[in-house]
Amino acid sequence: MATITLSNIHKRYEDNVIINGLELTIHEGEFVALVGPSGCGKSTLLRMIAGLESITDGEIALDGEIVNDISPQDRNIAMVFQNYALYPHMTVAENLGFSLKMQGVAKLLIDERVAQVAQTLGLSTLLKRKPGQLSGGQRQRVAMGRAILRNPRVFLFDEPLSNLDAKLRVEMRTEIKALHQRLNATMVYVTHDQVEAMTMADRIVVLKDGVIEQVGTPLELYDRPRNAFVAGFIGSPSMNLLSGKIDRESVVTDDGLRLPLANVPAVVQGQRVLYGVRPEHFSQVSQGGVLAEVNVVEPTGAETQIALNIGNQKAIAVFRDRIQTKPGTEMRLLPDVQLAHLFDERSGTRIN
Amino acid sequence: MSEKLALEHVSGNVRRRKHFRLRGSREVATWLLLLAVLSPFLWMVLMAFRPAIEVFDLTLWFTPTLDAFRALWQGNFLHSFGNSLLVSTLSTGLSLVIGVPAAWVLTRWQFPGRRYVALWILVTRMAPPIAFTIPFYLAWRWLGLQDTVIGLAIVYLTFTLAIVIWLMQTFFAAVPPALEEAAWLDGCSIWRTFWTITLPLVAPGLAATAILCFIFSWNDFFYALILTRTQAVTAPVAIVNFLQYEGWEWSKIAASGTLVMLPVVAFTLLVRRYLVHGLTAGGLKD
Amino acid sequence: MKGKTNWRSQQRNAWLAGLMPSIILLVVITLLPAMALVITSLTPLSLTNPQETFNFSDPLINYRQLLEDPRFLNSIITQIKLSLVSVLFQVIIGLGLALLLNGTSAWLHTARTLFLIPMVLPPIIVALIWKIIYTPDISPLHQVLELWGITLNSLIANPATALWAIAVADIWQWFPFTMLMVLAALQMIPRDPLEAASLDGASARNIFRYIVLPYIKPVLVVCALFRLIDSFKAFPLIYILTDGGPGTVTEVTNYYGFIQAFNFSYWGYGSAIAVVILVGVFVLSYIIGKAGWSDERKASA
Repeated sequence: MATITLSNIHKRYEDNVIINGLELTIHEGEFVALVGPSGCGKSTLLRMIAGLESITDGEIALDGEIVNDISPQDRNIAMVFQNYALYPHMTVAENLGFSLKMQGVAKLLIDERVAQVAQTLGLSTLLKRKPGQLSGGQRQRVAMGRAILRNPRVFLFDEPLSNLDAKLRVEMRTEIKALHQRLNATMVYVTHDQVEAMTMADRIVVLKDGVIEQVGTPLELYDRPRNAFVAGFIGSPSMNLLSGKIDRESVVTDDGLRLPLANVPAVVQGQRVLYGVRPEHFSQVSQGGVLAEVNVVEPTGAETQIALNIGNQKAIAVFRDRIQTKPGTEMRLLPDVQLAHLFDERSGTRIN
Repeated sequence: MSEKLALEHVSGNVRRRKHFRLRGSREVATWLLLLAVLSPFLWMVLMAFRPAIEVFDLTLWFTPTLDAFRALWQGNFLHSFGNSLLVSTLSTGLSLVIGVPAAWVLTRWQFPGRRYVALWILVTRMAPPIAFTIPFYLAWRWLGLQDTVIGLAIVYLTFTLAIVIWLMQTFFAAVPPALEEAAWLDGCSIWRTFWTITLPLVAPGLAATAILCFIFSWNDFFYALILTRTQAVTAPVAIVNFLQYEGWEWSKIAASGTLVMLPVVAFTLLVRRYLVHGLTAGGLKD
Repeated sequence: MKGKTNWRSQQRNAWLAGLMPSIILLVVITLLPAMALVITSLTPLSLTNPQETFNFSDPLINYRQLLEDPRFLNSIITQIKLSLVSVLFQVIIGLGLALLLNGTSAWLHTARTLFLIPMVLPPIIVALIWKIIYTPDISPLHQVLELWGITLNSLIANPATALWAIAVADIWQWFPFTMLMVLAALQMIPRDPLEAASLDGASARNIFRYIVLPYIKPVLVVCALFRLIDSFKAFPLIYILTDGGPGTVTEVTNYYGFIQAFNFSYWGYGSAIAVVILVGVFVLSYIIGKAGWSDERKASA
């Protein structure tokens, strides 16, 4: 298993800057998720690690050795593509064993190892079929099996679950995580779904416009996002970011509603800020707190999600208990001051 | 398929609403039209099988005979038929070997000036034969390639190579690059990937392209007329010789015409789907 | 790790290796002859004056002569007449048949294939077929008309009808082209607008006018352009049916070039004619290239 070091990576395509000065180290055996909105450069980064995309500037090193110019064939990296990229004219067995065939391994040995992996993944009965005859989930497993058989230094995943239906996605998530635990392999996983990232990764890298916004463990990102973008990106439903300004020891919205803070922040009075509070950190109170008007009530069974208006701004609150309320009624909510976040409105950076 | 159903459904609805009696009228109209339109063609084919004295008679009832074909056998025609076969196969084969890899590269490699190469190929495909015949005539005269099979085959490359590159580009574009990338990651070299992964996936397109090249080579008249005399004369030109030297023997003309058009019509049935592509050089939305 | 190779240069070398043979070959068999053609058009080269191969003393002599050559100017007019009429009817008939045959029954499917025959026949065969039709002594057409009491004189020997007789044969040969294109386009019309219109109560005629026609209009335009370019190449029909005659009534530019270059062996003059045709083709090809270009870019993006 390998460490991956990305130093000062730049990627330009014609006049577009896709990646702008990126530094990252991925440790041996680590599962790192690259997340971000569309166009943030996460897939490009992955493909650069694989060697499928050229690097305009900077260095990528595997186990300390610079691999910028090395062909994908020689990097000993396996990738699971978004659309699986199974060879349509070959059987599942041939697909699985292709890399071994390229290495010149004897046919008997190939068949043996293919049978082994097929059994682990539950593909044994499908070996003679062609990819076109498989379901989405089966194809996904074949793609993973192909990667496993490579015995590579690094596993790369390019949004492998986005073409599966929701239920299958949850199943496969667990399988991939289990695979990681079993093989203890270095895995880099690209996704736009932050839930996947949160549940699977050892560390998450949040990207926006080719720049790393924050790197950390899932809980680090959840508890202490470094800026408003990460705050709003991680967590579902997303964190409420209410706009207001500092007034003595709290934040006042433009409608005059007061949002409490735990400590006096080290900023100028009157500074415009974003007050961040997660939907699950509200409690309902009968007096005090913040006045809000109920918009839509969405009970999911396990919780109740309520879309509200706090003054002129929209917010979401999530409660574990069943709350009986109707659209149009007023509610008083108290945010947990210990868990409130404060961001500068203009730059988005964290203040507290 | 579903779109056709929709149109059919719509016009079917209209018919059902207003003209009960006309069900199947479309089929009947088609039948009649087909007969009318194809009648000149069918007439020639009939003439090939008529006994010589009745060859111009207006009757549809006659005892078919193979006399005309037998007469062809004895003449020079077979030689020219063989030349057609040889030249067409040669130019098709050459254009495939050289053009298929080029088409693949053009699909995958985004180099500056790519548009100009594509435009150049399009123009080549469109240029009138006379523009090439004069220089080739003079050059072949000088090089001694006049009236040779290889000389003609090379000249045919002016359009077969263009067809191959243009058509195969669209077929290669349908193969997702991710498949080739996956093969690279699996350790497969560039050209081995091309051979084991990409080519098998375009096999039908390859066959259709080959057939189209063959048809276009087979059908050529102008180049063969100018660039061949007796050795390398191809079938289309040989027929015309019947007109001029052997005094308009219509039976033989009809018979040779029927023979010459057979391979082409047969092949067309095979590549019907790709004719759109080949004839417009991909100039249509697809 | 296996041998460390520079991937970028590996790829580039592979691509060059695949592309170069074609480029080189194309240069040799298209650019060189094209240049030779232009060069020859600047000389008075002919069979009787082979020493004139490199006589560039008066490079534009052929072109000047062309401008004053009534036969040449006449050939252009003939070409335009023939091309426009022929292409117009090819498109109309092709369109009509495409609409008629656009259905799902197996018979229609067979009919669609059979209707292609005129287009895929070797052009010389088409010429011969119509030679038979147009030669009064042997033509079934003339014989049938005789039976009905109509004596028709040879259409191809009559200067007033010769060109149109050729046009008919040309239309017969090429209408399947438009038919094929339009059929392909009709199959790709998205189903939803059609269904929506029918639900809205539109008649078949209106559906055609407001939904189908706008969709296939670009196809018709491209078809017409293609056929126009191809029509400049018309040869076997004229060669077999009229040999440019009677007189020069059916002598199109291409044919005139042929006569100058290969009957009279005035290679220089013939080359100049060929260059003129080539320029016209180039312009039209450019237009087509532009029309089909957006799709290529979308496909390769």
